Amino acid sequence: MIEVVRPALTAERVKDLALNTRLVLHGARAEAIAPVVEQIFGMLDDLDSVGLGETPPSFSFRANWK
Amino acid sequence: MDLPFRSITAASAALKDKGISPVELVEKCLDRAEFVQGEINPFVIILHDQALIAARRAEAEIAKGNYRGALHGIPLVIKDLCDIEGLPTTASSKVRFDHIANENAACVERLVEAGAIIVGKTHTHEFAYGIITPKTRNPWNKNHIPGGSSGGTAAAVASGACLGGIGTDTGGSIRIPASVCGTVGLKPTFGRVSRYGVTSLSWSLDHVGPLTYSVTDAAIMLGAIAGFDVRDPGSVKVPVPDYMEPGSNNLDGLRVGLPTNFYFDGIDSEVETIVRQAYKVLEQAGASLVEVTLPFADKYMGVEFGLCLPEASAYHQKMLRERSDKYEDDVRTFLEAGELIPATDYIKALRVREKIKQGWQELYEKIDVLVAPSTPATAAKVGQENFQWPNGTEETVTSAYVRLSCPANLTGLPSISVPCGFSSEELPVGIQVLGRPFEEKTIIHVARVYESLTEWHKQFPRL
Repeated sequence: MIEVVRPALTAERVKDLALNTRLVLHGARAEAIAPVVEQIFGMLDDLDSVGLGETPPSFSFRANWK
Repeated sequence: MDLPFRSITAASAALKDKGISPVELVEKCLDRAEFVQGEINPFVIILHDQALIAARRAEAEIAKGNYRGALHGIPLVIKDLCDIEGLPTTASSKVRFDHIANENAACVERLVEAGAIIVGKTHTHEFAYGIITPKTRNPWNKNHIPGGSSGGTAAAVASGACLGGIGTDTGGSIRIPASVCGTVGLKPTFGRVSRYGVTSLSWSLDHVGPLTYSVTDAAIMLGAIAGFDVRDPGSVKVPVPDYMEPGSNNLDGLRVGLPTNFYFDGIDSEVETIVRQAYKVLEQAGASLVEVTLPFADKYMGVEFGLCLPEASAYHQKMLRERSDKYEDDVRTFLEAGELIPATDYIKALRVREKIKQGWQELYEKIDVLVAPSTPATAAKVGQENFQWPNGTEETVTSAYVRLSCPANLTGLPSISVPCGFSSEELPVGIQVLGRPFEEKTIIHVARVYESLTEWHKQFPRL
């Protein structure tokens, strides 16, 4: 179980994270998306309780050509 | 003026017997489409000239005895997320003002080969990223939404502006509008229908399927569009059965799963009563009801959003940086948010998806199909943000609609929504039948038997 909690997402932090993806967000946009991202992070963190063991991801890839 | 036929089946019989010509049928359809457009705006574009040229061609072919089958001369619509050669694919977005398709999407290609006449392209929630379809209204009540994202197709089919249409479904976008507009909507198994030429929302969750007046019509359309396509990496090479093969008129021996958790946890009480009545109809038809508990039920939304958000943001990565001001605010917010999800969290969601799939496989050892409400409420009012549930909780309209739809997207299982009643406000309610992978035939059979025992599909909105 991952015990470290993600820090609260302020508009400034959202701007920094976005910049890391080469996306420039201005103040109002950063404020608008912060609660959405927090909600999604909450849902993703809740998935930690599933025991995944060696479960592989379900990628969709087909190596054949026809 | 109403169309002389509501169903593909009836129109097709008349076309084959030359009781009506394709040109007559398409002319009547275009008239109706114009009227409906003025009322509820389901169309991005009505293809007058193109449809009439195709109708004349179909008429000549049928006259010469070259009848291609049940879709020959049948007027259909296409969600404006799918490419039609030479036309813009707007995805109902200002972002795509200059996007002209240079070939047909696979589903369009197959429908045209089957002789269908494309009469228009229909509105979607912008880039299929939402369940409102704000440009279109519900034909049952113009103060309500048509659902989405295939809201334009559902509204056009329900109002008789065409005889069927194509939708896409990433988190319920075929079944949600089908349910709240009172049509049939079929999301096939992941890999059954090619997505080639269809604007993606989320590659790992996107499906293409039909919306129609009846279950048989959905079977006809699925038969035309199903099949392997090497151009779609998610396409699966499995045989396509004859969906029109006559089955029994009962459900003897069929085990129908009745969920004891999840699907009825947050639901409008009137919708619940109507849906529970539908189980009784299935039981009377010979099915045995088996109570089941869905595995990982509290993880579905996390996986759905955990996959959809980063995949959508990846698709839009360049456009978001070049044309961000042209997106609607709600879609832009989701796209920007999706940029910030770490790849490791995305892959965790993919792995949990695999566990969910395994859990559902075990579930289907006890049942043949699962039956559940398609949506937990009828069509929301335009501008409505939340639903209130009987237990005092509140849920956003988006979350409520996607919640009951997304299990079929996550598991990839086929699911068909059929009308099962009306609320006291005269708004349609739908149930969905979910089957095993590539067993569309089974869910079509169950839905067809249910439909034959009820009259809900025979009611039409008064536009």
